[in-house]
Amino acid sequence: MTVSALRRLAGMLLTTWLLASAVFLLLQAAPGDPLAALGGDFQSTETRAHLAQELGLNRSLGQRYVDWLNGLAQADLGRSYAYQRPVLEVILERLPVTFAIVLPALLGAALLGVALGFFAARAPHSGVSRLTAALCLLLFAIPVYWLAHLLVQGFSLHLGWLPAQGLRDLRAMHSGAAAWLDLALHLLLPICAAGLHQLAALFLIARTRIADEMRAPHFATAIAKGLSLGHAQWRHALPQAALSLVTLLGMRFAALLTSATLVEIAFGLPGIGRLFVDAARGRDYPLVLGVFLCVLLLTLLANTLSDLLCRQLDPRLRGAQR
Amino acid sequence: MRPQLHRFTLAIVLLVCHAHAIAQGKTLIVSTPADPQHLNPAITTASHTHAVADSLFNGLVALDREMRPQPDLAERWVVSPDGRSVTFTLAKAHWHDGKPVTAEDVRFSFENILLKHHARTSASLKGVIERIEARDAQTVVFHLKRPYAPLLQQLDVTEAPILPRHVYDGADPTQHPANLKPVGSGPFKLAEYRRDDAIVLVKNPAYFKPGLPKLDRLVFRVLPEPRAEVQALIKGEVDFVRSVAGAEIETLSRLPNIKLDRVTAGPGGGNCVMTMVFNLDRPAFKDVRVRQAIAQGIDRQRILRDVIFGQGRVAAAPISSGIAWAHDANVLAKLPFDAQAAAHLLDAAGLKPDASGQRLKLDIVHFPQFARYAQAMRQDLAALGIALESRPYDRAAMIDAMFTKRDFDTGLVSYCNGPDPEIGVRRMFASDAIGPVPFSNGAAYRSAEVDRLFADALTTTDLAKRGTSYRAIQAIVVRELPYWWLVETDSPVAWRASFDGFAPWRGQFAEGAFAR
Repeated sequence: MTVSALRRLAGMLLTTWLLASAVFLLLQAAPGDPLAALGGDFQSTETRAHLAQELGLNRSLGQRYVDWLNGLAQADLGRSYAYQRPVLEVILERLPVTFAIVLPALLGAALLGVALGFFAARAPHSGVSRLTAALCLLLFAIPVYWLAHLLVQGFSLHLGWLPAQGLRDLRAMHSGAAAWLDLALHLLLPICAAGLHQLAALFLIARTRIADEMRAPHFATAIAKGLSLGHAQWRHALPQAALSLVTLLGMRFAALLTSATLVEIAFGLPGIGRLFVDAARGRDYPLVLGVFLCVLLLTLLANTLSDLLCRQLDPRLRGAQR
Repeated sequence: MRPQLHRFTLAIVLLVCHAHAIAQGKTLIVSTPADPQHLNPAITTASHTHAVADSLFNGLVALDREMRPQPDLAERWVVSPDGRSVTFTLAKAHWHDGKPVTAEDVRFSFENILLKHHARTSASLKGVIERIEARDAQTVVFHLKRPYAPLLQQLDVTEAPILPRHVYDGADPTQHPANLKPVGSGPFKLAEYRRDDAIVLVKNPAYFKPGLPKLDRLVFRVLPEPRAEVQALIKGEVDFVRSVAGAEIETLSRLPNIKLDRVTAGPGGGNCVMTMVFNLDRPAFKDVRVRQAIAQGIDRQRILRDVIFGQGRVAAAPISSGIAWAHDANVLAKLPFDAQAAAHLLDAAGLKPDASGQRLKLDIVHFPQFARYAQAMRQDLAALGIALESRPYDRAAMIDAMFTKRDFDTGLVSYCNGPDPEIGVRRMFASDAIGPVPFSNGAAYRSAEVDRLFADALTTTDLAKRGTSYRAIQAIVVRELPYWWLVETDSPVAWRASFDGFAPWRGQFAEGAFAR
């Protein structure tokens, strides 16, 4: 167990180092530099030289790489050029917003998608089941970004139920419990925009996987034993299907973070996705690398979690490892 | 129980409505496309900083819609007969921390901050100002090396905000903590700054202009998506949108509770002309007839109609019509859209079509948001046998390709002329403005005659004489065509009709705004 955990950790560190170095080099290869964004439109050659000196951009590429790795080894992600603050501080400020979208979206999509799949699997060829599947395929095909605008157009402009953008009502400026309610209302559409995509994917997989299990001989045995359909599904189809669902969930996490970026832009929310896009535009190298590492870490974490969960669900996986 | 519950609900509803009405009455919510990063308008020309920070500070003068100077921190001013000194008398104003605004603050702001860190102001005024004298607490005198006509146009809050000396003295203004906790003299004070989310300003009750501001709170909402801005405006979550996308204008113009206006100036500069840049270093452009052919082969009327939805004018001259005394309204009349004439010019230049009908292959670098211009131009030029390949780049990559590496055939740049040709026109043509400076002389155009005329225009304050120099420059550059001027673009501004009194062409656009 400890050996496999250590091996796994070493693998993660190697992956992180390789990918981060690749991004470091790619950033340097991208045309343009941070000076253009920082110095303004009428900057003189002296301003540029001064800025380059200040940011240490006049040092050689190798030197900068070594310094950056050095900092990284000490958990120092450097300072953002644009924010003039430690990268970690800037990221930690934004992370809660992204989590507030991503976690409920993932949880909601998982619960709802699997529940719907559970019932749809009972009659995969019925009209309702087919209609739901078609609807989910459509949802899966709509770009997140466009879905966000459709939701705003419908629920916020047409029906007037929910706010169209932002995190809070800037006019009323609620406090206490009202502020939390206000926040929840503001987050509802962004969570839907990010989550519906995942919901559709999970529903389709859950329905197929559960229906597959229900065609297997062991399921017929369960029914023959006299278990009710629901009980048999719960005990003898869902656990088998759960393995692929949990694996899928771990993999969808990275996709969900990508959708969250688009959702943050569409609704004007200050999360790390938007931070990443703005940092890339301004060629804020330390910040881009910092957000990249943070997202990489979260993805690796999600994958590890889903692996652990799988081991919990499937005794065979536990037995396979020494 | 029932009636009681009803009464209770009614009370709550009334209370909520009431509280809502109070808060709503005097809070203006403005959308802004990018976070300001900091709130010191004196160390940057970035429009997203100025869009917010200009409401916290003052300039010596304010500009009216026609760009004429009006009193701001300076109550009045006198220009000496030889044009070499201007004496300003300051109003009795106070900083947000209660200390008085003095002539020393003005001198300090220019000498220690603006002339070093405000790129536009340092570029245009460093060579002009000899020294600034704080004669007494309320009097400041600008001594100039030579008469400089456009001085007053460059002293508003966008070009030259005045900062408090007692806060910034002895420190590096670019790293100062006050950049995030600003102490200004303006109509509003900072209450809360949430990165990439919202910036809340509140009324400065001790503002030196009686009766102003009329709003209690001015809130900026960072909304990067143009479509989201418009949706929020329609929903009433935002009250004021600067720079509405052209395609949205029609939707908004049909709504009775939305007001629209068009301005040619804003916090990032004014009098902008969308311009095609020819890289004169490229062999293809050695022959002026090729540039003329491209000019005459592009249907600018169609660009005005289909690309910017009528929000502007076809450019009639290299200098914007917004600078009426320098603009030469007839100078481009001899280059009308004429595909046949363009084809003849290309023939004459020896660029015959090959077997597939193609004469020339060019690329065009531009920001992604200008893709529709490039598309319209590509269609027009394809008809002439010129293949125009679009290279959409983000800001950093575009500046790199055009101004640093000079790796491009043609490009699209929105050159903002500003209130005076010295600020935004000279940099396009002067031979000393070729180099790795963003949005300078992208064509790499050199003409000793044009350089001399720009110098001439600066030696006098007489607008008529300066106009003569600038018209002579326009005649030359239209003959030599280092650029092709497509359309003058206006900035469409929209706000909810429950508010009024805006000055959208000014940095301090909400000083006099009020709720109806």
